[in-house]
Amino acid sequence: MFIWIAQSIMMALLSPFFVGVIRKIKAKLQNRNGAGVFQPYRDAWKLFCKDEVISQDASWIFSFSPYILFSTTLVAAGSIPFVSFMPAGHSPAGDFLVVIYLLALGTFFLALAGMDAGSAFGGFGSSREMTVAALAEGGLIASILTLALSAHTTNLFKIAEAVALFPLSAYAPVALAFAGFFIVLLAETGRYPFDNPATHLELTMIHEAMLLEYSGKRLALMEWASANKLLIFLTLGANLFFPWGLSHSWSILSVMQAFAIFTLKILLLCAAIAVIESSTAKIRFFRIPDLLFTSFILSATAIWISSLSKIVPSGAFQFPFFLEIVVFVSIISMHAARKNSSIVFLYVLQSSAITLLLLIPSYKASSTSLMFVTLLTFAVKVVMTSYFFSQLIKSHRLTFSVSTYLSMPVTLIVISLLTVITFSRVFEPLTSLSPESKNTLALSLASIFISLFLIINRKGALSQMIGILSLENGIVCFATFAGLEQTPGLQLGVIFDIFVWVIIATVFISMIYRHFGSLDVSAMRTLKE
Amino acid sequence: MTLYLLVMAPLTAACLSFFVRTKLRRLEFLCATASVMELCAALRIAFEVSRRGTVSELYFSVDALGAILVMMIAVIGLAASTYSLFYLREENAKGIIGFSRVRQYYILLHLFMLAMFCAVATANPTLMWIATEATTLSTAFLISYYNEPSAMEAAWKYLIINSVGLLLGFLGTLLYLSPVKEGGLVSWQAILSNTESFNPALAKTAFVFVLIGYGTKAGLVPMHTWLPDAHSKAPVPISSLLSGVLLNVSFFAILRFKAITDHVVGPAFTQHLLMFFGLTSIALPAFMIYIQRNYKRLLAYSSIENMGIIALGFGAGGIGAYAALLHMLYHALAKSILFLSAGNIFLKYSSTKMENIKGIMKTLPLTGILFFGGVLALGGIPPSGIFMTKIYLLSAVIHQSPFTAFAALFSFILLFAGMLRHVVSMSFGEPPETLYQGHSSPLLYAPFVFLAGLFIILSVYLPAPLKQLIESAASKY
Repeated sequence: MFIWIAQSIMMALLSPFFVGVIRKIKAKLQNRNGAGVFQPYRDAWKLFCKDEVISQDASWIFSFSPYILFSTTLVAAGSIPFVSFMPAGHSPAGDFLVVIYLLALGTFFLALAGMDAGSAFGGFGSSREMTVAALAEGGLIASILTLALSAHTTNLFKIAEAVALFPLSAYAPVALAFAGFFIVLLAETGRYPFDNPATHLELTMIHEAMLLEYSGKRLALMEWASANKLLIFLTLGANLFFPWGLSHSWSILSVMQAFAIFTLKILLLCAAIAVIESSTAKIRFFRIPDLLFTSFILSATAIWISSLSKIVPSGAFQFPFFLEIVVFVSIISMHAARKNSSIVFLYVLQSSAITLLLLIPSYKASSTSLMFVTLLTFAVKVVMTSYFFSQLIKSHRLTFSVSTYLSMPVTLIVISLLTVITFSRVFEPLTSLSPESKNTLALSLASIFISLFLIINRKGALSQMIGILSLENGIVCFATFAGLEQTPGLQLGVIFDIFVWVIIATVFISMIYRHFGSLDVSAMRTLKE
Repeated sequence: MTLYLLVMAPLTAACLSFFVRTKLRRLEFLCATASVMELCAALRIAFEVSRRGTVSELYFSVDALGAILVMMIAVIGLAASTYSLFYLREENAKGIIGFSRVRQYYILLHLFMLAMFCAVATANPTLMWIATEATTLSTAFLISYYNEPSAMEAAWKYLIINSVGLLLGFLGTLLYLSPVKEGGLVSWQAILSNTESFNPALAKTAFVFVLIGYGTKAGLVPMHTWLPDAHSKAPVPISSLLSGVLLNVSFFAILRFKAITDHVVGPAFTQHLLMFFGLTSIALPAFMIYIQRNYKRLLAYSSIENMGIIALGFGAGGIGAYAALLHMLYHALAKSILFLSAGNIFLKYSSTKMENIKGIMKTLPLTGILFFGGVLALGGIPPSGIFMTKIYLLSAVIHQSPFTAFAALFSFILLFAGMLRHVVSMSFGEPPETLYQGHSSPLLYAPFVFLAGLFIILSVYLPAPLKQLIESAASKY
């Protein structure tokens, strides 16, 4: 019990610091000096010393909500893995559903309080907050459920313990679930691109609109509670998905060490949030469901994949598998990328992974001819294509890729369906070509199909071209893992074809741009006669 | 040795053409010499294959079916090359294209021929894939040859759809290599002798990939969407090669994999798939033909239908395969005649729209007769060999599935009626006043007479070696 209370107080004391850190990093990114990282403490102190004004129309809900909100965050803060895998005392609150709904209870009262005073701002703030909360909940539950299903428990401490033992080859679903979780984190804590935490002067604000009627001590509590909530989410993200460095005992030394690692992880996440807030714009309110739905699909896919692939715990770090993950993730990211330069970058990353993958057998066999072919692959796929593409982008100013046929959530649904199909029994004959790397083969097949889908879904000629090249990369990946290597001479022939193909396609893209004025292939309608 | 000659002739011609700087005559001389040499080599190979079964050298190996295709490529190649000589000279005179473009055309034409010969003559599946991809690459610029937006669009569509298709075919090809354990260059023969260690489920999946992949290039419905655009936008000699030969070369790849798959899982699986794709490819053009307004697109849709007929024939097996092989031959000849006459019509009328073309019989009597006759022959009017192949085909299919046979027959009639309607309105009537008055060379007709003569002779009489080749190929695939 003592530890539980200590943990709650510790989290509550730390939380304003991390808010300060995020603000500081943002300020640095905007070329400002910014306030010190302890400014939130000073703000809170100032507010605690002030008098407050409460509207005459406000009911008891208005005056009690801050206490309820603050205490729910305190209880939740004590019930999550902080520095140790050991639950603090005999708290039953270590279950993830309890934590999530404790926080939801706070949100509920926050929304009520926003409406209570009867001001227009508070009302719309509450309405938006509930919309976001309802949509975010699915993603949140699904992302943690991924871990819970793999760990066979809903206790957060046990989940952390189980995830820490996962081999890297089983990490694909965890990483996907984390992507889903991170989106929800941004939504729940009112950060960009959902809400602007820095202002209460915008018509589009959500969280700040609900606090508009508060002043003095209650405002301080509210702000503090939201800082707590941020830290709770950051801790969940750091300690459930990447539970490395948590201590197994309560000895001073191991706790100190675990605390240092914890601080480091949270600071990294803070930096990520600050970078996102400085580099993205707030999205329109009507696009928020898209993003939250995306988070839900990511997590649902993670659940699917983790249920399909059997997790075999083993400590060995499998480098080829890691390369395959790079290929797979880069293809998915191509679907999300909007800038042509980032698509090209992803392709180059993917090709580098492929080159490394080809390098392993040639290194093992120490065959010069294989080495030569690998080198040539690198020259064609990495050096030449990146040069050609960057020239194209520069000379035609093709900063942004033209639009897609399907919206982002639908795209993700298709991607997850494709991935699930490759793990299913339909492709059993293909994936059982090499029984020891079954998951890898399924993932390569998924990369092939997702590249195919990129070609179909994109209207831009450049994206189509990169889609074809990454389809080829997927096939090379599959062949390597299935042990279908070719002789160096034949590899040379294939590389030569790719080389000529890239040249021809680049010339065509230039000509298309000259004739049609854009790379949008849906603008090509001259053949409809 | 002859096999090397077959490959070296276009390669040398392409290299030499690259160094020609000013003289059009030299380019033409190179082109003519190369295509004559190719034809001689091809005939020699065909004779040897009919005598000995297969001819193989280091990386190459030609069996009966390969010999038939090599001959087809060489014959149509000769006709198309000869036609190109006069056609390009005429276009050059009209001021449509300059000298460097003509040189580019010849270089790409030689490379295209080279890639096709390699694709049918190689002994290794991956090499075949490389060569087939090379045919796509070498023809991409030939399709966008006139640099109009529409040609660009057609070429882009061609490049993208075929590359995607072929990459899937590449995956299938790689899967076929899985049973062979020893390293080095894996030949068709090695795969065939290792079939007992081939997982049947894997063989089925691999065949589906190959069928979709090479089927895209062979223009089977529903992967045909690029075909009418590409075939109608290319210069006519190229169109005749694309329609008459390249489609068959791609189909040849499917047949090679079919033979392996049949060894593993029995013929029923591949036959059902081929019959399905064959029927869809026959049925769709029968309806599309009615809404066409461009006569080259008309011919392109007819090519899709004929590829469907060939697929259906191999799907039926037995006498069907025999009919399909003969049909391949006749279709290649007839389609080349039609495309080349379309070239003459275009030179005269300067339009590809059917509504602008009236009275070919009056303005271009010989072309008109060949064009009209070619359509009749393709439709299967009795003196033409296609009548016989269609009868054989239907009689083979009706045993397997009467419904398919009747649906195919109905589509034949529908398509023939549609073609005839368009062609009659083009052939007869009063020609418009504004016509290109240039005097066209009588040599322009040489390739036609050659092809038409060949078609008529082969319709009534098959030389013994050729017959033997067809029979042995039909029994194998």
